[in-house]
Amino acid sequence: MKISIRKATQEDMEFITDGIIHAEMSGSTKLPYQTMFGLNEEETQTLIHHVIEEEIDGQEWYLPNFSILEIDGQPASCLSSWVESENGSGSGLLKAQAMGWILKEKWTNAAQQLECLKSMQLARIQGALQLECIYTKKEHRGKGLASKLIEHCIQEALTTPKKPNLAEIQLLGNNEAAMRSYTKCGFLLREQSTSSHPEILTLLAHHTRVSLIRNL
Amino acid sequence: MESSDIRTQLSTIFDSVFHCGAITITDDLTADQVEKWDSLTHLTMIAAVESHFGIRFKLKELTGMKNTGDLITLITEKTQVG
Repeated sequence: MKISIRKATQEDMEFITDGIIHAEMSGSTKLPYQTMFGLNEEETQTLIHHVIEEEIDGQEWYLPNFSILEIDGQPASCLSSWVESENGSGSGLLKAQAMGWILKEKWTNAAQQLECLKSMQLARIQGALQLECIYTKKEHRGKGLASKLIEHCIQEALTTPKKPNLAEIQLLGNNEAAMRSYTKCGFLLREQSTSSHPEILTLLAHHTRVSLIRNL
Repeated sequence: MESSDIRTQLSTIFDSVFHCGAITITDDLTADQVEKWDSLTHLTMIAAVESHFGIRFKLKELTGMKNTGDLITLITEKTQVG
C-alpha cells in the first residue's frame, strides 16, 4: 500500500465535493444546505462547485487549500487548511458572502434558519491554522489516514514565513470518533457552544459545536 | 458623490443593520469592531447598501473588501459610473 500526499487539482473536484458533503453531515443523514436552503443533493453539489470556482482564498472551499492523501494513486482522504483571517477577512464572512451571493433569495429566505445557526457559532482563532472538511472514504477508515494528513498540513504550515503557533479544528459534538482521533493527534478542547434553539436539531446533526486546539 | 456624504449615509445604514448607534465610519473599521457585524448581518448590510445607492457588487469585489474604506472606495467608483 503506497501512501502519498499532494495538493488538490481541478481533477479532484468530485472527490472534494463528496468530502465536503460528508464532513458537513457529520456522520448523520442531515445535510445543512438541504435543511437550511431546501437544496437537493445535486443543487448542493452545484453550490459547492460554484463557490470553489469563484476561487476565494481565506476560507475552506478554496481548491488550493485542499490536500489529498492517495493510496496507490487513488484519493482516499482530503482536508482543507488555511490560516484564519490571514488577509484581513474571516473565513466565515468570506464563505457566507459567496453563498449569499450565489443563493440570492434562497439565502434571504433562510434568515430564520441562519439566525438559529448563530446560536451555536464559535469564532475561529485569528492567525491559527484551521483544519476543515476532513474526510476519509469509508473503506479506508481506521487506518490513521486523517491523522497523517493533519500532521502533513501542520508541518507544511510551519515551513511558511507566517508560521502559525496554533492549529484549530471545529466540529459538531456528535462526532465522537473524530474527536478521539484528533485528541490522539494532540488536540485539546478549547471551547464548546451548545444551542438551546428549538429548531437546531432540524437543521444539524447536533446542537453543540466544539473547538479543539493544538499548540504548534 | 463625496466620500464624506457616503460616510454619513453608511453610518445610518450601519445603525439600521447592526443597531450600533451613530457610529463614526473610519476607513479601517472592520467587522471585528462592531458587535453585531457578523457573516449574516454583513450580507444584510451589503443588500441595504446596494439598494440605498442603486448599485450592484460583484462577488470578487465583496470578497476583496478588507475594511469599510474599501467599501467606500467601491461605492464611490460605482456611483460615479454613468
